[in-house]
Amino acid sequence: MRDERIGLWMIVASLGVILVITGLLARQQVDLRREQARIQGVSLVRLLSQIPFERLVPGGGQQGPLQVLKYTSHPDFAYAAIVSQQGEPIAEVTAPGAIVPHVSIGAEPTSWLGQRRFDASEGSRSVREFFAPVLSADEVVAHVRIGFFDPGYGIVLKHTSFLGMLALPIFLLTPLAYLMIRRELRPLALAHSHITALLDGRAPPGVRLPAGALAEFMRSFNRFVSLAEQRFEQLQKEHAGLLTSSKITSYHKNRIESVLETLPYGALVLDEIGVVTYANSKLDSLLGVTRSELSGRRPQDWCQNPELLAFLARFHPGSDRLSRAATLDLVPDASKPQRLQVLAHPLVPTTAGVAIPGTLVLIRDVTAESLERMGQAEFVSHIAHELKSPLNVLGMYSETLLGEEGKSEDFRVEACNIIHDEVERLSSLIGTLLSIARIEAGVVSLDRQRVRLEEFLKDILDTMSRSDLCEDLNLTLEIPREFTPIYVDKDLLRVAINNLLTNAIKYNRKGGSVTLSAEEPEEAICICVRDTGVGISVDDRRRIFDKFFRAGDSETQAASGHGLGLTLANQIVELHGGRIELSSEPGEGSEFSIVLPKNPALLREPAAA
Amino acid sequence: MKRILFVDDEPHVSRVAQLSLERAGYEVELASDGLEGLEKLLAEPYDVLITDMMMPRMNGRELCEAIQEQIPERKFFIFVITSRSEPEHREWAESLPRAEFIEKPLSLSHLISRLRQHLEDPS
Repeated sequence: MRDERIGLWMIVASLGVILVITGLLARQQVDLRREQARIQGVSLVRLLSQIPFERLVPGGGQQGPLQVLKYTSHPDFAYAAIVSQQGEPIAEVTAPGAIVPHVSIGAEPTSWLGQRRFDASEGSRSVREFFAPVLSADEVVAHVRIGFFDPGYGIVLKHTSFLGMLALPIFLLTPLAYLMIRRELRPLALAHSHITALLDGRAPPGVRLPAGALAEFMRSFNRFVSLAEQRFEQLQKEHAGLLTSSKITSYHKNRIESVLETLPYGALVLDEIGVVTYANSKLDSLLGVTRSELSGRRPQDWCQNPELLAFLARFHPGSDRLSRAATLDLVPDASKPQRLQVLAHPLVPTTAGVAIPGTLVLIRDVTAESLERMGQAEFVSHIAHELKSPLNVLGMYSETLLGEEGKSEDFRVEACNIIHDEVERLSSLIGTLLSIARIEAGVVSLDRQRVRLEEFLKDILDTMSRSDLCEDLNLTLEIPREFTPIYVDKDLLRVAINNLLTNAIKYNRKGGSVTLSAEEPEEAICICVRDTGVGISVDDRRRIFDKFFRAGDSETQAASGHGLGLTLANQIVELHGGRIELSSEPGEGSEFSIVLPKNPALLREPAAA
Repeated sequence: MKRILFVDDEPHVSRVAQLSLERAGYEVELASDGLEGLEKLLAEPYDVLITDMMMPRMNGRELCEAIQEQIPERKFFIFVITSRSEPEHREWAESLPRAEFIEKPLSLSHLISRLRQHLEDPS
């Protein structure tokens, strides 16, 4: 394609050259003829004007010298004429087809000698005329006018053979030059196809290169290309190797990051000067800073807590740098219950013995543990109070009995009754504590006995209604029908139901009601305790069975209680394979339902041990 | 006869304390919680207030704070009955002017001897 274009251009160029040469030659010819005509015209006019008028125009039928001009060889000769002072022709000779144009001769002698031009008009060519006066006895008697046609380019046609001779070698040289150039350019074309093949990812065609300087260059070029190709292949292999090792490294890195991310702690890795090189996402919820805020920054740039900052600074280079693990208990915000434990470990060398200086910082949320510890401390404090209250009464009554009051029979009876009640109260509290401790320790085995639910519940409610707490309350039992006998630990289940009832009574309003009912859907036995008390907020419902938990509202706080009743009830029901369900409307009341699934243990008499 | 207001939510405690204090020669009024106690203190003059700490509605500390606020020029002495298990309350009771804390379990004879001392030598 490229070759054909070069050929075409060469033909166009050679035609152009021929045209230019032809044009220049024609121009030169025309100029030459014009010059010849001028020289001839001027000399002829001068010659004729010096011939005496009588000889120039002999008259009497004689031929004058003017006739000679008829035979002039000059191809452009148009005419020669002798005219009078008035411009009338006296004698004339013309070339075929030429006419002597009429001119009037001026009076001034300056217009008698010179040359003028008659432009081409219809049917005649343009003519250049030379003229001069003819003198006789120093008198102007006539004028000589000789005209020559202006040479046209048409004359070039007469030289076509010459032009052909000129054009032929040019035409012959053109394909030759084209072939030579093509031959010289061939290595370049081959190189082009090589490069195109390489760019397209194909193998370059194996072609033997012709001889020549360019071919030599191309051979070097090809050697360079093949070297580059080898180097490229080598690089590709190395790249593939690097890619694989990078994938493996990335896999290992991801594994380690995934492990650090899975840790139930916030994790930070600091380098030897304390800059964070890794942070997991759990830190956001623990410290309130995102990974991007931590990454690549020193603790003083992100840590707001002075205590933590001072702790982390102990692992920076310095005189008192810590080289062992250390722990910090942190209270991020004193107004909130959140408690954190910060563990910092200087990095230890890998198993391969590579030591990487830095520190691993783990941040653990110990709020739950701290709350539990506080709860336990509170519980102990509460239990101490609960134990102390009956002891206080016992102490005061026994002290009073020993004094003057002890002499009164009435007081003695009253004191004995009160002492008895307080001993009962102490005993019940200790019993509850022991039950919880035993259930939690897993040493309680259920002593299942056959129970008729309707009698069992009636007995519980009767006992409860005798309590002083039930004044102003309406206690009802709703048992619609006879129930399937069940096998439960009577004593424990009684404790559970009692605890639910006690709460329903304790947290009720004056004149309210407590309903103990039972239902027997297909799958389970349900025992429900419904009250018209203060109700339980949604937040409290989640923690209501937690040990030591007491609802936060003031009315609940006002009532005595140690936050263990529901815990124990729930544990007892769970021991029976059941659960306690709770629905409540704050301000309107609550309903606790013991749901005992009808499993074989509930329905069948236990095998004798 | 010196008038004492005894505030405790435990009826048995109040009952036996009232008996002993009356026998010791004092006039005793009872209140079952801080709020009732405050109402009585605002209504009538008393020489001594004896209050328990843990009570429903208004506890002993809240009662004393309400007194500081509502009866700033009080003349009566305050006995706060606290237990060892409430160290923060005890600390607070010690900082209260014209007051003394008495530890549980309450000994009535000890209470009466402290009462006598304060009522006879009010400095």
